[in-house]
Amino acid sequence: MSFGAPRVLWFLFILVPVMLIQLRTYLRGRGDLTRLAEQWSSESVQTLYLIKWFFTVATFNLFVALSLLALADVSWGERPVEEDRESLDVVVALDISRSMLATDVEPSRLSRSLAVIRTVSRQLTSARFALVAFKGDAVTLLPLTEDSNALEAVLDGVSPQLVSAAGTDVERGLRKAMDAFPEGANAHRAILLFTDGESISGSPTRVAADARSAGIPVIAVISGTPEGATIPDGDGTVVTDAEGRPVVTRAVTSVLEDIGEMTSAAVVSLNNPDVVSVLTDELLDYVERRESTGFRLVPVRRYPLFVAAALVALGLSLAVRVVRWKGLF
Amino acid sequence: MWVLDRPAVLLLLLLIPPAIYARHFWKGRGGKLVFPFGVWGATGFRPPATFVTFIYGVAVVVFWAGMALLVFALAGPVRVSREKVFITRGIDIVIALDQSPTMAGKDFRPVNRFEAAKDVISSFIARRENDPIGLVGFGAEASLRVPPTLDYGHAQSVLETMRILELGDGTAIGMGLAVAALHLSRSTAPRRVIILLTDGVNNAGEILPETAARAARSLGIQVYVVGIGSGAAVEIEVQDPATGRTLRGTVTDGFDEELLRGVARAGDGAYFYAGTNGALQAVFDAIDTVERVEQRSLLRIQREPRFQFFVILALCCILLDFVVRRLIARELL
Repeated sequence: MSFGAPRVLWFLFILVPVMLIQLRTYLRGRGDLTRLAEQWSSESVQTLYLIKWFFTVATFNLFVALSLLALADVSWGERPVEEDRESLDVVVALDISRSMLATDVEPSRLSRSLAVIRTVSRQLTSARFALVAFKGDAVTLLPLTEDSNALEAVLDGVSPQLVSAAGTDVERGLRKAMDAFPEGANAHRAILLFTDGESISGSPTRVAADARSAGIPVIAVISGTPEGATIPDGDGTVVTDAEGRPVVTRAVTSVLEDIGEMTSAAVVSLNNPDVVSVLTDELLDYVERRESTGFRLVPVRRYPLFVAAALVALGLSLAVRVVRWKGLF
Repeated sequence: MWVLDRPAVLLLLLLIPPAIYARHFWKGRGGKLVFPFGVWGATGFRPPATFVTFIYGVAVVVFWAGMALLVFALAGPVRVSREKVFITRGIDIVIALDQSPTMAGKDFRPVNRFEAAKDVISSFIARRENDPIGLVGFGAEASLRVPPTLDYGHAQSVLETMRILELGDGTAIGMGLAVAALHLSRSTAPRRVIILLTDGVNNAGEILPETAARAARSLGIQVYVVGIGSGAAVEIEVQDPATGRTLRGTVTDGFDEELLRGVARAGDGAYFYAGTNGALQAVFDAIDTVERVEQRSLLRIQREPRFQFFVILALCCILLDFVVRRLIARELL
């Protein structure tokens, strides 16, 4: 089972205030019935009220929970979708924030990323490549092209100064990467994401859900180590915080693992000595798998089940209220 | 286009009117306490119209709207989009555009030669489908601005940013051709074309235009040459991108038509002269018509469920009704 929008599940906490209101209603209702005296204060009526209240509350809360599960886009199982594409288009989304200058990967996260991109592109000669660089904003440095000379030239000029907006907005980077696939192309599509995953803003999983819908795997390359390193400042010193202490940047893997899981793609460390072969094998396997079978497997979205169940629960909640029990209420 | 996956589900909407009757008008309904109130045989008691009764009425309407929205969500609203996908390879075209100062000549009213050329190139790009387009600029030097790509939006935005003089004061036609040929050299397209657009005399660069054109031809690349402007004296006005200063003057040198004809011959292409806006447009229309290959395509249909909006709205409506009934109207159930 997986969720297309897992963050929606946080809204299940709305059931807490809802249940508090329901409990308050029950206690106040009991008091009101007692004050009315006569038959309304009898034990049997109080019990009937409790039972009716319980079923109303249970079905209503079930409605809320099921609606939220529908919105979370629950899916399980897979179904084949015809896929008649040929060749391969790869968009590289490259984090060029300052933390990518850290040297916990030799010679630096950014230099090693560029070297890996260069080698992968040389090995996949029939693929077309595009390059998107991102920090707080994202820019297309190279549109999708089979011109390997142009890719080499662009890679030579990559540096953190290409984008002025600070930060690491992976969502923007991935969105720009998705947009870099031109309409009308009949190639298999994949995104290579190079980032240390630190100080991420935006919601990368939201765009990962879109990539999943479009059948685009996002292969994440964790550019850095959990132990981290300081960031060179260019003049022999390192970047420091407001109190003068060296800033240590560490790779954060959780978001990248989520993206990989959502798009059924590999997550690999830049420190892995076989990173190039892992990436090329992953891309070639992906193309071969789809071309040999002629289809791709997509998760089966189950939201109609949950919407139907929510509707039934709401109907039951209504029915419990509307149907008079034992001729009383 | 929007469609419903399960339109038959909308029949559930027919259950809403009887449900409204049962919930609000049926005398035997539950969820209320019945009291004898008033004089026997007289008009019954009705609550006065207050703010609370008004809010309660609104909540009732909102609740049933929420119920209807849930039914719509269950009916499976889907946004269907169609994408034309090409299954054949198009022509690779690189346009080499002269960015020398003489391109600021004001004989292409109401703009200058350069802006007129950009407009025509832009409309040329807009008319192509499935043909990767690249852009090379040249002045004293030459530079690849866009590699051959199907990302026409990117090509258009880069074209828009190209300025006269940003590659220096000079006209390196040979370099422009060489850079264009280099970036087409590894192309797998069945047909590759360079369109050279210039108004000048080759006066910079280390490669002769004919040599570059012959090299392109040896790679199987055809070279079209478009000469713009005229031999007459023409005023120019250009802003230097390096200093921001506006430079004005008169150009008396015409373009070297013999050279351009020779380049076209060496590149196994054709030479076109365009002395006016209309002629320039006609030249590009002609190239657009000639440079076509058979394109085969298929229509790919994509369906994206859009139930979320309806469920969110339904949930908000029903929770609003819940809050009003429990906290404001103080209902027992």
